Amino acid sequence: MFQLDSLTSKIVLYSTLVLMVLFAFFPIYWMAITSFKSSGEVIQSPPTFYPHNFTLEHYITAITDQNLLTYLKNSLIVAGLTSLLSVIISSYAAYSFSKYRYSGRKSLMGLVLSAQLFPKAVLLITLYLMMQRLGLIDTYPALILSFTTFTLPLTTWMLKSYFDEIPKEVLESAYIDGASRLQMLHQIALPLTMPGLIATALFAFIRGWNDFIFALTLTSSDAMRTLPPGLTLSYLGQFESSWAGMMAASLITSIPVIVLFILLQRYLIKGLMAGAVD
Amino acid sequence: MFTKRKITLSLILVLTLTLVLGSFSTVAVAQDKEEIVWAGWSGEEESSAPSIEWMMSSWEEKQDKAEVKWQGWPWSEAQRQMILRIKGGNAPDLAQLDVSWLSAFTELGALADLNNVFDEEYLQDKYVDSMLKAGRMNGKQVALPWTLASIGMIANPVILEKAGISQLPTTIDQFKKACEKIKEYDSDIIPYAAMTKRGATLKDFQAWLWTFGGRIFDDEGNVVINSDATINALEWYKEMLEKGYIETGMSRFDARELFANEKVGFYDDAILAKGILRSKSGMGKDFDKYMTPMLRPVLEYGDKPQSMLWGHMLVMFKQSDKKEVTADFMDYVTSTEVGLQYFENLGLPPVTEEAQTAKALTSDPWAKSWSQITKYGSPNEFWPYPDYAQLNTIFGEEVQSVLVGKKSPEKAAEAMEKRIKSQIEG
Amino acid sequence: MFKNVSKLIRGEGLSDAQFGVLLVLPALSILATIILYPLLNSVILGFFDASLLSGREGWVGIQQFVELLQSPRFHETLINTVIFVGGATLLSFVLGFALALVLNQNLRGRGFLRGSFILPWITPGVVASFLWMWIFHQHYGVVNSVLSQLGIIDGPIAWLSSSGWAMVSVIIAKSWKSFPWFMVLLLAGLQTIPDQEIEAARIDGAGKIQIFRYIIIPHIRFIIFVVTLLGAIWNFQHFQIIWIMTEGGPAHTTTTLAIEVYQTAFQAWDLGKAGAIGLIWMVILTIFILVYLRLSGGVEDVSA
Repeated sequence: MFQLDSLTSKIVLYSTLVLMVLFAFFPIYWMAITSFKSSGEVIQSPPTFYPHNFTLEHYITAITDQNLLTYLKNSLIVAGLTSLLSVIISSYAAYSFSKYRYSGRKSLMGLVLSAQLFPKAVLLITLYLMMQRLGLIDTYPALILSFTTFTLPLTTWMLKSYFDEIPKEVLESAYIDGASRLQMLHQIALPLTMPGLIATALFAFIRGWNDFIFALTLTSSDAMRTLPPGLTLSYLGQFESSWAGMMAASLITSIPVIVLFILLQRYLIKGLMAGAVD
Repeated sequence: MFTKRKITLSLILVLTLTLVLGSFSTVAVAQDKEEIVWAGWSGEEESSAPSIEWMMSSWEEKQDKAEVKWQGWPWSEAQRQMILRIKGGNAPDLAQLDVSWLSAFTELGALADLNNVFDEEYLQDKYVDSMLKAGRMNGKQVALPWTLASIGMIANPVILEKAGISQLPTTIDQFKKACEKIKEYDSDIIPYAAMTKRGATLKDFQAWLWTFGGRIFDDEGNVVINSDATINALEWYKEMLEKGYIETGMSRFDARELFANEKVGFYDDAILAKGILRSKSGMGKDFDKYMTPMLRPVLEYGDKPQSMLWGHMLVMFKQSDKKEVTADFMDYVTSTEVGLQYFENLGLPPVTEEAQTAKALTSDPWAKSWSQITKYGSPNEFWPYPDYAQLNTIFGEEVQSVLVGKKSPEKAAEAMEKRIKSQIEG
Repeated sequence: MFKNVSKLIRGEGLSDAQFGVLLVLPALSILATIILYPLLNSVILGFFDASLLSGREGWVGIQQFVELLQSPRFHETLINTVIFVGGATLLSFVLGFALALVLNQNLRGRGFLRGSFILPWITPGVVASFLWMWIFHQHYGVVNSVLSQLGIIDGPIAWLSSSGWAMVSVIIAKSWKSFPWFMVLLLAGLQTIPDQEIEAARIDGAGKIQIFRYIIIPHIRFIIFVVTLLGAIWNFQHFQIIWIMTEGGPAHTTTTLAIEVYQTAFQAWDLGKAGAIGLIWMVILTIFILVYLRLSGGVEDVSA
């Protein structure tokens, strides 16, 4: 876009790039090497920039930690079920927003969209009371139900944009062939948007994987905790001051999400506009 | 027949079923043994976890009616999480409580009266009177003592000697001078690792408040914290920070870690510090010569050295439907045999009359020094209030605000009084 | 009768519009139950004296609101929120935009770079919090170490336990996590600018700054607007990083509205007050959005 004629502009460009690379990636590098250092080396001052005593002990501790495995399992189950539920329910709404016209449609769309901007902490007050009254504190349903508050708007919006991409003619020809409206949805639209459906489900999964405040408050036992509050309570409590261990557990937690994102590269922009992740 | 749609649908169905079934797998398999749930935090801490496990497994071996399951959180979370579970109708059977939480839990009406499961005389014979009394509230025996001592100060005599300090400081002035000498000797060493990090450990400051003659409440329960004594104490604390004798952001975990690495001259801890420091330093018993208990310095000669009473209690919850079995376990955990072993592992004093005369206790210099500290111990002034946690938070926050320079000591003392009053009345 | 019910479920005999509404109902009813109702209930609690331990105790009208609005501590919370939202959004935007401009040049490996730069953003919030706590650690952190070795500071800065630096730390940590989001969207916007226009301007003798002001900015005005608005709203809400790194401390100096609501409800057990804070929060958020919309001179609908 800009002509890189003068030396100055080249310098500005490349130094900006270098600075940004440092800012973005050095912390991750730091996390990684800390996790491979022995506990003694970690608290050396000045710190070493590569592990002098390379060790895998923290990873072994993390992987054999019963609690960590429990948190992992819980995160998988809760995020997975939430994502599934959201996609199924919102696909109908998304299809409706995309293909049908009725008064109030735009307002409803706006409402659904803005629902994810409401402060979670405020919602939590009543959600907590509700779950308590239903006796659901510290159970999967409590988490799944409350997670849908931020996955449903996301999946609705994303799926709508995928449904938008289906050409009118495809659906019209099906209609002419005598398909009922539901059949059009189930047998034509859904299969056509399958990649988009999967991408949406995975974004919702990531949201559920990363949630902290709901999982922290709605669970009270280690057996039910997901990774974010579980790790936090472990490493700001029992394992406080075990920085290398904390970094190892952090890396382990990040890997599923990173892998998913590599797979989802293509769908990135759509997901981002929908505000996925935060 | 195998349309894309059908395959997709069946995949989704299978996935859902798997996930749903997986979620049900957390339901416990039917057992013929009863299971009681023990909640607390000591099982989460590196130094005490083995003792907790040993207590549970040795009891399980002794009888085959029941098993114990541990539910733990970090200490800073434990009270809140327990209350949440009680409110959710999902209380554990028994719990380890910090002695200062008894009031809040009693107010909740959650604790069982142990005189209904134990014989009153049996309890009175078994436990040291003052310790048993600590578990009585409103005429009911709501808790059994598990260990009681005081939070005191610990010094590193090796560092002191190298810094040219010949005796443990006994007055505030001597203490300041000692800190100065340590700083001169080695600027990398933190003279006094006082508790200044966010969280409930800021309550340690109360002991200094008392040292300067201040109090939060008077005998009638009026809030009197806004006093010259309080302001002096806060000013002193601030001065200590400015001179570099204390640091901000210091937690008890940090302090222990640093002390175990000989980077701290003085710090505050409970009697169990011995076991913790031994293991953290990696030296085991060899580390003993680097640590010694110390009476808190006083303002003027002749004042009593102050300390905050500290301890763990065991409670049983009304919601428990396995009270007899739970009582048996509680009895076991607080027994002389277990208590003395606990003492050997972690230095925590046992609570039975019988154990007080045990040789292990009387011949242990650490425990003996510590009983001196406990002699003048006073309870945290917020103990009797159900709002204990929030009151501590208010107190700690205002102390912090002086340290970070946000408020002057005068303003902080004023704010403390105002906020404490409003919290109690509101 | 059953035939009619199943007909209804299959949506036959309904007009297209009615069918459309039927499809939306499941999602709407769920949203109403778990978002609308809780939201309304939470803010209504602001008019009651309610505790987590004992439930609703009595109507107190606007008393809690008045107390809050007069409380200096609450004012501080508001100021903290403004500083955090402003600081984090601005920093994220600047970083994201700078990077977007750089990546928009035809550099080698651009696709790869763009892909890898989203790494901070996809790092789970817990991990980012731990990471920056470690980097900013007073004694063992790399920042203090590097700064003192470079001679920039005398002694270690207590990043997370000093009243000013704590806010700086959480802003930096949050911006690290958020800037890739800004970058990707801004980059997408930049790439829609037709090269010919820039070429034409250059041929006409326009300098870089002029090209920037008169061609680039107008083209991406809309994206900038959306990105900063959404980013600010997310920051308004943000809880995790601050909670883990400082828990709102030291001495209340990093407590934003989100932290305050949480602490009031789940530490002080005061639901009424928390609800009141929540309502004030929603009002501020709404005013902010409206003002922002007005200031941006009526940009088109976001149904793109």
